Amino acid sequence: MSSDFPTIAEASALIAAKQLSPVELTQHCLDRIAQLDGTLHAFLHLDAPRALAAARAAEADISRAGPRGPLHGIPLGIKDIYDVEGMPTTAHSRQRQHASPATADAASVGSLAAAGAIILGKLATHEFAFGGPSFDLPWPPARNPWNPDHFTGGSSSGTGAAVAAGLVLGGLGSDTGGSIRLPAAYCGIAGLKPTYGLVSRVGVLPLAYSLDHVGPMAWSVEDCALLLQAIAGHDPADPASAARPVPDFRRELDLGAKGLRIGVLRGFHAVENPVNAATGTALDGALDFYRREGAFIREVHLSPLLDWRAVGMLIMLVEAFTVHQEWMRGRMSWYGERFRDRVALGGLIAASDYIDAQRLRRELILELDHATADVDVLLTATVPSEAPRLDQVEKWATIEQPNFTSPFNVSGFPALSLCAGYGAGGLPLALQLIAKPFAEPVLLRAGHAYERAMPWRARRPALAAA
Amino acid sequence: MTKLSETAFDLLVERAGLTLTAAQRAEIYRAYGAIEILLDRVRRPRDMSSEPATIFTLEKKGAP
Repeated sequence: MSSDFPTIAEASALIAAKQLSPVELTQHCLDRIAQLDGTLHAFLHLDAPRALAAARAAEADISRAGPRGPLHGIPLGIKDIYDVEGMPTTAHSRQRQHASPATADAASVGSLAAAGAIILGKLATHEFAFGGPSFDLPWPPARNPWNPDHFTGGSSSGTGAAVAAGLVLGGLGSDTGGSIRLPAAYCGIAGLKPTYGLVSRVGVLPLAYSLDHVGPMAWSVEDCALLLQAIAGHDPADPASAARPVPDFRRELDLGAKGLRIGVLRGFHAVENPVNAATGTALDGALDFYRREGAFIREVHLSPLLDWRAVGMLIMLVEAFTVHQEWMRGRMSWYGERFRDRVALGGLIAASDYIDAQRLRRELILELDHATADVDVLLTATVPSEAPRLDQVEKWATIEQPNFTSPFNVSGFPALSLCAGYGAGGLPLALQLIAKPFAEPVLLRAGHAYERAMPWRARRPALAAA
Repeated sequence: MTKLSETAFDLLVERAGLTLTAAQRAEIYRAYGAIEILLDRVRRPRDMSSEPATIFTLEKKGAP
């Protein structure tokens, strides 16, 4: 294989041209996992024989009838809160440490399997997608391939690490307050939280019903589009599933940035929660790019981040406590400290306060809808700086500090994090783009236009390249 | 700093059905101060007609 790190799009083209075998590609990933995962701890469950068998079947199918699509024969990893038939769903928790293998795929996993993707295994997560990074669980936390002493971000921590290190070509994460976008930012990859309801949540352990989103993580924006194409669509079994036709998410990918109307949420990242100098320079650099390419830039102002934070956190805590109430009352000690203590707060919040949070939520959504009437995408930070050290991630930071990601779980608007360069220490920087509901094509267009013009995708973690 | 009294906090814990160790109780009580800041943001005067985001509509399935 000519490149150690093909993207899904690149590998797919090679497979279609019969210049790359799915078996060779899968074995390559398995070899990298054997080499690197002892350091990165990205995988909780790996099924190499099954993956190779699937790869051989894909190779035979492709030889006979050509590829079903761009994911046929592509090795992927799945966050361990999704059911994958024949594999346990542990949620990285002692509560489910000995869970029996799932009897059916989650809806989105089934879609990937139907597209011919090769599922290598289950990836590390913060406990039940909320409680990490933790050192008191049956498995250690995943580590950042750019510097293993540093945080991957979470909760889709294993997916972020595995994609960045080339252990898989893409994967699924989930996002309730930022859990796709935060690890995408810290691990230097692309992560997409789609519009609420675009992708089925069936077969995924819930954290907060009205905030949970299913979405793709991959090295590039184009790869996210390919993954989203396979998993998007109405599912009658998901009460929140949108009954809308699925567009071609790549239809606008190559249109460039000319004419895009971009709203900058400068109040968020320059005033209320100031990003560090490197991130600020990266965001300004992105705006300069868009301006040069003929996009129209203006400022957009929304209610304070703390309002969005209050709504998102109160709703998440109450819904998460409700999901876990039986175990929180009956076997609380089986949880790790971070999940346990955070979710306990959810049991202390009055119903009237939960309803008031939902009332403010409606007001904020209407405000965002009005503010984006004449823009195509919004731009702000994903995170305020590069990834911190793993041993310096404060237990209560997620409660106490407003973040840039939660407003788009509260509102359900689609949001994309992509690499925006590297800091002085070599850790990735990121920016966040947000579009209107179900406007993923223009969101992906804006991200792809920036990404292909920048040199960031040419660099991989040194550990992974060794 | 948490404004809620410890007595009131203990009542909330009991109502939630939680059994906390002394150390857990102390730490969660301290963290509750951050929740109070968030609660202050959502508790604001509203007209009675202000509805939550959870109000739903029924789809017209099978309508002509």
